[in-house]
Amino acid sequence: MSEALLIDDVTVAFGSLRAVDGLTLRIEYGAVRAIIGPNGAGKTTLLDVITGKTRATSGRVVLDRTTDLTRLGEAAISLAGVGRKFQKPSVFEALTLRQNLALALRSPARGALAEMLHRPGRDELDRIERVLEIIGMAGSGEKLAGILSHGQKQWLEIGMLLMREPRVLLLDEPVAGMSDEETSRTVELVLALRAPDRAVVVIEHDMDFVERIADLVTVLDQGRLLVEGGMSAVKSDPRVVDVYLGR
Amino acid sequence: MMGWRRRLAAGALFLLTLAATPVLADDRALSELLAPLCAGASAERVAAVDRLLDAVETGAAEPAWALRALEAVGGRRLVCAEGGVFITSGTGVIDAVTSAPGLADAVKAQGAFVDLRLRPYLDMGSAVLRLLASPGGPASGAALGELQKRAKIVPPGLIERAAAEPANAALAPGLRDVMAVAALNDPDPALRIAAIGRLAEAPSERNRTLLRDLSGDAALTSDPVVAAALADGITRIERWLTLGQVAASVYSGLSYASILFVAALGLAVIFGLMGVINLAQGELIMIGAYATFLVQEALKSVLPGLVDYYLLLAIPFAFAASGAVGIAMEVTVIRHLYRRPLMTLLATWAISLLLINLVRVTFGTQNLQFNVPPFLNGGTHVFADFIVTWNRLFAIGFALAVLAAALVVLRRTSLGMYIRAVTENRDMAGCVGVSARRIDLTAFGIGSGLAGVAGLALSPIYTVNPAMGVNFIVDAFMVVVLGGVGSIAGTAAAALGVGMINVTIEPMFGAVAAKVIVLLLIIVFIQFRPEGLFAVKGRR
Amino acid sequence: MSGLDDVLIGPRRPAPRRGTAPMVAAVLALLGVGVLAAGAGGAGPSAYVLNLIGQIATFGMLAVALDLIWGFAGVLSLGHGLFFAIGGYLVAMHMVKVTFLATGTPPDFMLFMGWDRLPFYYAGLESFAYTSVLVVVVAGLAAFAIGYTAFRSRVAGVYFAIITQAFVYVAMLLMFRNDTGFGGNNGMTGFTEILGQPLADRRTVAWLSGASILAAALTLGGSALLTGSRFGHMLIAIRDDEARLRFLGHDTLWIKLTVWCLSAVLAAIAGMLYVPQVGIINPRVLAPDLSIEIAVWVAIGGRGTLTGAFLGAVLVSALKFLLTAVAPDLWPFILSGLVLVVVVLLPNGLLDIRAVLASRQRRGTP
Repeated sequence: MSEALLIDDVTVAFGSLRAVDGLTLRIEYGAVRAIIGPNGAGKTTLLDVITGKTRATSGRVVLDRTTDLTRLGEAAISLAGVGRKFQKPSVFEALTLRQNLALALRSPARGALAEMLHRPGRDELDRIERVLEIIGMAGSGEKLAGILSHGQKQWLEIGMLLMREPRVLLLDEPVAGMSDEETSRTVELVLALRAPDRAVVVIEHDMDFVERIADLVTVLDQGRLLVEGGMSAVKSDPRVVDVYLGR
Repeated sequence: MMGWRRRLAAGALFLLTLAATPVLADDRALSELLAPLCAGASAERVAAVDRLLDAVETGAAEPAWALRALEAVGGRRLVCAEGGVFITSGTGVIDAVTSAPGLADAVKAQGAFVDLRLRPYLDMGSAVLRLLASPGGPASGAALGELQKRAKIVPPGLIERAAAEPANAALAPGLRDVMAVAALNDPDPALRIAAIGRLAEAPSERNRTLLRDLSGDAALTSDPVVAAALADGITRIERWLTLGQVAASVYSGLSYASILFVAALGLAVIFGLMGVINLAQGELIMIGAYATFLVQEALKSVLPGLVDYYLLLAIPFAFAASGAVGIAMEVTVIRHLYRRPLMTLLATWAISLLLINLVRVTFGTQNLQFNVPPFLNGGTHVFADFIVTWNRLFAIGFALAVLAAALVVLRRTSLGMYIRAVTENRDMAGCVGVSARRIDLTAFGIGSGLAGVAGLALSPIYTVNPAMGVNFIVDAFMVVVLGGVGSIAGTAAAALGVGMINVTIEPMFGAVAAKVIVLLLIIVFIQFRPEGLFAVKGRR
Repeated sequence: MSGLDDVLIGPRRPAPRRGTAPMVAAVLALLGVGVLAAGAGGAGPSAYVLNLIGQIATFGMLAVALDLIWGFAGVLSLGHGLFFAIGGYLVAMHMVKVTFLATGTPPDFMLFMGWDRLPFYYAGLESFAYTSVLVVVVAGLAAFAIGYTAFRSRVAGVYFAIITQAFVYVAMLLMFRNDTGFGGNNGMTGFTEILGQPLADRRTVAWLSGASILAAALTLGGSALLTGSRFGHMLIAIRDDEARLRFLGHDTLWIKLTVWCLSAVLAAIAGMLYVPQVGIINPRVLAPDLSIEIAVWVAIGGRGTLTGAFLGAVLVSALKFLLTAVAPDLWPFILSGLVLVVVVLLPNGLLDIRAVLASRQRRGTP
C-alpha cells in the first residue's frame, strides 16, 4: 500500500492550548482509517489543518509525497483531491439534489462567464445519476435538499464528495445523530467507497461503527498519537482504556 | 503721552512745593488736583488722572478718596463750581475734598462728558485704587481683570503696592504679570529682561503675542541681550503652547472616546450576544437625552432646588426610558428575527425611523435647551492654554464608571456569567438550563439602557435633537467592528483608538477627512485581524 | 409567531422561484416600446407621468441589482446608493460639460468657488460614449476595491452590511464639501440637454423613460438567465453554505466578486438613467438612509425572486411619490410600519401573503 497523506510533525496552538501537538501520521491508499479519541483530542483540528481551514503552527501535510497542503488554500486543497464531509451536514438546501451534485463537479479552468454559459454534458449527467444510485437516492434527483432527513443529507454530502472522485476522503462523524438503520446503510456506503486509489479517513465516536468499517485505528489523546493498530488490539490496549475511562 | 517716570518727577516736585504750606493749604492742593478733572480737553484731563494717581503713590492722597473722585468723574458726577469741587448724587451734594455737605444748587449740575480717550484712564485708575482702598474686597477680582487690559497707563509703584497687600495675596501673581506687561516697554534693559522672563514663565497665546509684538519693535530690540532674552522667551512659550495643544487634543480625544465607548458598549454587548446590530441605537441615545431633558424640566417646576443635580438624578430615568424602549423592541420585533440577522438591520432601521418621527412630532425638531449645572460650567486652567473643562471631565468620569460597572456585572454576577455563557455557546447554555431567551431580553434591555445613559452623558456637550442619533451611530459601528464581538476591553480600546485618531487628524485635514481615514484604517486593520482587536482566539 | 417562523424560514429556505421574472421582463419590454412610441407619436400620457414611470423603472432596476447579491448570494449591501451615485454624478458631469462647451461659462457652483474653467477630471466627458464607459469602469473598480478587501478577509453578513453603510456615509461627507468640483452641498442641476435633445421636451422625456424601462427589462431578463445558470446555483450555494462550496474546490471569493461588481455596475447604470430624468444630483443620494431603503424595497417585495425586488421597488416608490405629495409627515410612519410588518410577519416579502393566509386557514385562526 502506498502512502496517500503524510502528517509530518504538525502542531496547532491556540494561545497556550496545543490542540495538535507534534503529531506524525501516515495514511495509506486502499484502506479505511478511523481516528478516535476523547473530546478535545484534536481530531477535528487535524481535519481542519489537512483541508486548510486552520493553519498549522508548525509542520507539514504532504499529499502523494509531493504536494505540501499547508501552503494551499481551501479550494486548491479540494482540487488537489482531498474531500471533506463536515460534522454538521452541509448541503445546499435551496437547490435540488442534482444541482447539489453538479456543483461538486468543478473544473478549475472555468471562469465566471463559462459557469454562466455551462450546460451539463452526457458524462456529467451520467455521473450524477451513478452517484445518486450509490447514495441510495436514485429517482429523487429533482427534490430540494432542504426537505431531506438528517441521514439523507449526510449521504448527499458524501455523494457530493464522490462526484469529485477524491483520492483522500475525510469524514467527520458521519453517523452522529443517525438511527441504527441509517448507520447500517452508512457502513455499507463507506465500505463501498474503499478503493485501491483512495484513502478514507473517518472520525467517529461510535465504537460499534468504527469496528465495522475500519481497517486501521488511530487513537489520539491531547493532540498526540496514543496507539495505532487493528480495532481488537486497540480495544484491549490499557492506555486506551485509561484515556476513555479516566485515570 | 508723557512717560510715567517723568510724570512722577513732576508730581514729586509739585508735592515738594506743597509740603511747605500749612494744613489748610493741603485742602487747597487736593482741590487743585481735582479741579482739572472737571472739564477741559481730554489730554488735560488724562494728565490730571496721572497726577492724582501719582499723589496716591507718594502718599499725598488717600486711595479711597481718589477712588471716589475718579468714580465720580466716570459717572459725570464731579462738578466744579464757585467755592470748590463737588460730587453730586441723587440725594445731595458733598464737597469732593472735605466730604462736607455742599451747595444745594449744584445737585442739578452734571459733570463733563467722558470720551473714549479718557475712559481707559479712569477705568485703570479706579481698578488699581480699588485694590488699594479695599484689598481682597469683593471687587478685587474684577479689578485685576480690568488692569490686565491696559496696565501700561498705571504707575507700576501702585500695582506693586497693591500686590504687596497681604489681603491681595491671591491676586499677587496676576498683578505681577500685569506689572511685567507694563514693564516690557521700560527703557531700563534689566527691567525689560526681567519682564520678558516673567511673561515667559506664564505661557499663553496672549503672552506670546505680546512678546512677538515687542520683537517687531526695532528700538526696543537693538540691545542684543534684550533680543536674546526675547527670542528665548518666545521659544519657551511656544514649547509650552505646543505641549498645551497636545494635552488639549488628548483631552478632547479622551472625552470623545468616552462618549463613543458608552454609545458603543450597548451595541457591542447586543451584537456579541445575539449577532444583532441595532441600527436604532443612535435613537436610544436620543431618547436618553430627551429623558434627561424631561427630568430637568420636571425638577424646574417641582423641586427647583435640585435642578443643579438633574444630570445625576436623571441617570436612572435615562437608563429606564431607553431600556424600556429596547425591551419593547426585543419583545415585539427582534425576538422573531434571531435566525435572520440581516433582517434585523432593516427592522431596527425601521424602528429608528419610527422613533425619530415620533419624537419629532411630539417635541418638534428644534435643539433642546439644557441648563448646564454650575459644577459643569467652565474648567480649571492647567498650563499654557490647556483648560480641563468640567463637562468633558464629567463625560470621561462617567465612561470610566460605566466601564467599571460593566466589568463588575459581566465578571462578578450570575447575570454576567449567563451572558458570557450564551455569547460563547447558545445551544450549550440552553442545555445546562440557562434560558437564552430571557438572557437575550435582559441583555437587550441593559444594552439599550446604556445607550440612554450615553445620551445623558453627551447632553452637556453636544446638541440634542430628534436626528442626533445619526451622528453617533456610524462611529459607534466602527468601534464595534474594530473592537471585536462582545468584548468590553475591545470596545474600550477601539473607542479610544477611534476617538484619538479623530482628534489627531481633524485639526490637520478636517472632520470629513478624519472620518475617511478612520474608515480606511479600519478596513486595512480588518485585513489582518478580521475578528477585531480582542476576539477570543480558538476553535470556531 | 415562532410556529409561523418555522413554517416559513425554518431549516428550509425558499426554493428558487422560476418563471415569473422572464415574463415580467417581457411585459416591461412591451411597456418600454409603448412609451417610446408614445413619445414619437406625441400621443398618450403627459410628460409628467412618463417621467415618473421612468424614474420608478430605474428604482426597479436598482432593486434587481441588489437582489442579485442579497437574494441570491446572501451578501447584503447597505451601500448601493454609492454605485447609483457614481452613475448619477458621472452623467451629471457629462451634461455640465456639454453646457459649458455650449455657453463658455462654468456652472454656478464653480463660479462661486472662483473657478473659470472645469477641473481636469471633466476632460473628455463631453463624449457620451466615454461617459458611459467611465460609469461602468468607475463603478466596477470601486466595487472591486470594496469587495476584494472585504471578501478576501471573509467579512460577511452583518459586518459587511455595516461596512458598506460606512462607505456610503463617508462618500456623502466627501461630496458635501464644496471644493471637490462636484457641486458640494447643492449638487449639480440646471442640465439642458442630453445627446443633443432638450431635456424639457416631451419627446426626450419619453425617450429617457422608455430607455429606463427597457434597461430594467433587460436587467430583469438577464438576471433571470444568470440566476438560472450553473453560476446562479453557485450563488445560492454561497448563501446556503459558503464553506461547503469552498471545500468543493470553488474559489468563492471570485464568484462573490463577480456578482458584486455586476450588481454595482447595474446600480450605476440605473443612476445614470435616473439623474437626467430627475434633473438634479446632490449628496443626499448618498445618505445612508437611502441605501437602506433600497434593501427595504427588496425585502418588501421578497428576496431571491427578482420579480419581488422589482415589484417591491415599484410599489414602495410609487407610494412614496404619492404620499410625500399628499401627507409628507405620514410617510415615515407608513414606511417603518410596512417594513416591520413585512419583516416580522412575511419573511419572504409580500409574495408570502398567500402562504401565510393558507397556513392560518389550516390552523383555523382567522
